[in-house]
Amino acid sequence: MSKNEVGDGSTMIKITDLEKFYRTEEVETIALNKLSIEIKTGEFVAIMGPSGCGKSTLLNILGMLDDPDEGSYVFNGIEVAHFTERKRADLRKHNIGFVFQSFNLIDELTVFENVELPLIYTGVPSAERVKRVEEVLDKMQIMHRRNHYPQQLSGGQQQRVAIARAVVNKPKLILADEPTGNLDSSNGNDVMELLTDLNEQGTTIIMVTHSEHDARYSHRIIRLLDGQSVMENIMI
Amino acid sequence: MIKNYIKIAWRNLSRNKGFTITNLLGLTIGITCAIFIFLWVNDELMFDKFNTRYKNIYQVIANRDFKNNIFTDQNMVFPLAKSLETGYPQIKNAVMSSYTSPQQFEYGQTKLKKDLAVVGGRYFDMFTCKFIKGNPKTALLEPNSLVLTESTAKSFFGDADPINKAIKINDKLLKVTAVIADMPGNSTRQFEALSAFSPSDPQVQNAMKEWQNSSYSVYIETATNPNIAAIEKAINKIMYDHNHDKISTYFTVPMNRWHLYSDYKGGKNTGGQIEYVRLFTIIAIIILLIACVNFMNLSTARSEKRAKEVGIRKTLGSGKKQLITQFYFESLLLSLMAFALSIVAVYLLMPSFNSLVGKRLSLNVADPVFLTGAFIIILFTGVMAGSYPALYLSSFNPVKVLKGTFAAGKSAVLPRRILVVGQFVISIFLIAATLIIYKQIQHVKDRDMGYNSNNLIMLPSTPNADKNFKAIKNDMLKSGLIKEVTRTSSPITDIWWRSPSPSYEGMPTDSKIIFSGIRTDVDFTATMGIKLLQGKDFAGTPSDSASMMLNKAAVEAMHVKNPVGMQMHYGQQKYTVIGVIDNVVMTSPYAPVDPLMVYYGDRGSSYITVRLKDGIQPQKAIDLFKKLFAEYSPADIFEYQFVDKEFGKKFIAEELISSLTNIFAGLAIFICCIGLAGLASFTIEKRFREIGIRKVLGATVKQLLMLIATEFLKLVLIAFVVAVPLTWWMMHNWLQKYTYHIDISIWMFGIVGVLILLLTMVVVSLNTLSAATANPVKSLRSE
Repeated sequence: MSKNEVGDGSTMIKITDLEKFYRTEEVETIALNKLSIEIKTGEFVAIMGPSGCGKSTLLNILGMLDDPDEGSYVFNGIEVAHFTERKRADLRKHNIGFVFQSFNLIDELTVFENVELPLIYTGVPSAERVKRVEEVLDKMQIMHRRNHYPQQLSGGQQQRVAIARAVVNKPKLILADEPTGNLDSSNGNDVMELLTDLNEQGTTIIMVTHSEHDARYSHRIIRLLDGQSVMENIMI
Repeated sequence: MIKNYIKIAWRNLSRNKGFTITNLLGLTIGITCAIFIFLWVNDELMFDKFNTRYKNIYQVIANRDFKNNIFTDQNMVFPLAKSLETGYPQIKNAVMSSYTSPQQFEYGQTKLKKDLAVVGGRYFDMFTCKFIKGNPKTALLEPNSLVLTESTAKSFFGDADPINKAIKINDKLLKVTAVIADMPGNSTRQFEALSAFSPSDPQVQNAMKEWQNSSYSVYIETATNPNIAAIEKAINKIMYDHNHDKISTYFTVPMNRWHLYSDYKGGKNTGGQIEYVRLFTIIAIIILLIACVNFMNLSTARSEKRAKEVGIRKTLGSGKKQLITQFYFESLLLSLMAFALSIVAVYLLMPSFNSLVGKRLSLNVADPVFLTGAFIIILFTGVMAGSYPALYLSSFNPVKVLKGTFAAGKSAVLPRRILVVGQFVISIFLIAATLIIYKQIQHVKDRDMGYNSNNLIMLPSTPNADKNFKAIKNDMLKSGLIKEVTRTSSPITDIWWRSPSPSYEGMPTDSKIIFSGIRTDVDFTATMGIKLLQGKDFAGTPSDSASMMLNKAAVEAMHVKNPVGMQMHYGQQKYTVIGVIDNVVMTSPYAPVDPLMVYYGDRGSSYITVRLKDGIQPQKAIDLFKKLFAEYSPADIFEYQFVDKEFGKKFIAEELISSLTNIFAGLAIFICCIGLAGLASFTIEKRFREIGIRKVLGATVKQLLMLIATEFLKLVLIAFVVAVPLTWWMMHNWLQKYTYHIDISIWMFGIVGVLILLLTMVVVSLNTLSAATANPVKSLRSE
């Protein structure tokens, strides 16, 4: 499989004329302006652009954490743009994993418990949970840290835990918001390798990044400016 | 500097409006309760203190040992006071008084019942009364003199001068010699008029020789620093010399104990009203503490926000002391504001509180006692609430705080949890206590009283009504309104007569049975609705005068198998037991029923008791009674009492306690909830990011609510485990006061547990809901 022929070729995400506004009393800011993008199953897409161009807004909408004001968002053939909060949450917890720049691990929970959380929320039985958490911790090579708390880990290790948490539910899509932003280059590379591995095993990945270096790991870069897609680079 | 402290404190309070309002509300409620309780307690403690000779006035009372059954008795023989007046340098004055009892006063066309006490001539030399007209030295010296209180004088004479006017009391004309101010509410001695024993009265002359029968109160005024033991010895000697009474031990009770320490059991003082004074003082402090705990908790929970301020201040050279002072100023300012609001609340609520406790309390802000109390409350609240936050906040390490490596609030979590648990323990205790007190009162109210008090009316009898009883009864029955009528020597709601047991065959020589007694006419059981267990009621035949009925308790106490037909000897008389009636609760509904003998008498009754036919309007019957009394006893005032209402009066003290605990429990819980709400919102603020993460990972709103609620529910659970045994122990002890009482059952605590859990869930959920439903994107923005 060559780099620009990925997945099974079916469309996972199709957004059309998507709009998102932020209003205050006096000004209305357009975060997304009639944006249309299509992402195929199994793709690894990087989204780039200057601060305030709408990258994070787009990621939040794709992750069903936020809903668009106008336009259509079809996920795996289902129109979700105007889904209720509940339906979105349900779709999200079974299909999407998140990786954040600041890791967003819960300080009061151990590595194991952090990774276990998504399984609890999808109702996986306890024995099964232990098995799957151990499996993924092993894969991320942080099994030996399972009983540590996030503060006791290095940044790189924390991000591994965050990725482990994102994949433990075997999501079809991983959304990563500047996953290496808080890491040094060596740890950053490790994380990118991990994401690439996951992608190669079939997970679709959409990553927001400022780093051209990281973006090179992807198949395609979508560049945003003022809420619009201005350029797409296919990586060769 | 102080100005700066106040300025900064003010700004801090006005900037954090939610924090300030939460605390102000809690503290205002706490202080308002404290003020009310303080006023009530102060009034109780001030009882009788208006008497200028307060410290030297004593009442003479006696322990009387009836075969090892010791009763404490205030009734003294008539000549005792006179004997103490002279010959004892330690005793400056001795005064006697009859019981205060309602008497018919007649002046012109005005006939009213007024509470009259007949007293010794030197009464006003001992007791302080405010004279409006007349001279305290001579007011009671002349025979047939009468002293009226101001409102009594007004009710007969309006604004006219009552002095030297004659009022007819019990067919005797008494001359008004003085008018005094109405007795203050906090006087143990209460009356509406006083008259003096007249030495020329033959009855008084006879009474002066009577050293056996006792029915008078005797008071003495001692010299300063009296030798009480010597005085008591002298009294005992006088009594023994005159009546060789071996069962009585006389002693004196100082005026400062009359009101607060009036209960005796087995000859020993067991407290009295002082217990409630103590109880409510503790409750006031507890409520104030709960409000203070809110302040402590919210202040330390808020500390994360203030850590930076502390760090900067310390870096700029502020010492720990200055910071502590700063924080104290904040709490004191808050406490002062709460106090000001409380004063307004107290003024507004005073009438309701007064009607609740049956007092005439008022708030005098200029009163030095009040000012001292106010100062103490403000200082106590301010220092109590401010101490922990001040010490805690001022101890922050500035370097850590400013570098951002300091997790403020962490070390305060445990103390804060302990304080919250403490609050819950008190709340659980108060709710459970309220429930138990309520159940106890209901339990006693539901008790089988042994007679039917519904549709039963008592008419205090008069000599004329008694003389014409048969005609009255006849007319009543003829009217068609009345089912049954009888007359008795005392009301069915009280016992007026007690005595050691009559003798009977097989009576043990050391029998300790004390009998109650009542004299009745025919139709006693039918009228009262008392079950006749064996034998028969009086039939109105001549043999009735040698007959007697016993109650079940008497038969049980006497251990006899076949009481009907047995002989009882009482005094010179021999009685045959003709019937056994069910136990009738006549005195305390909390106590077991005493053995009772019912004997027959067709004259000299004090009460006519009437049972209405079912469905008859009471007013119709009362109109009839009024008409009959106007016909047969025209000179007397007609009165009536509903038996169920009279009986209900036996619950007044307990019902007051019940209402007060209800109110205080409600308020304490409310303050707790305010604190809980505040704490929950701080917790949520702190865990906002975590809630967001969990939401992204798929947590539902319900799961998030449970997550936050569990943190508090755990505390409630701990509090419950602590509170249950504590409550059980305290309430179990309280219930022991009553012979007839409930057992504390597990379900009561179950109800309280469920209630407090629900309350916590609701309060916490309401606060959590907005965080749980918020868009997680907001909390996860890392920029």
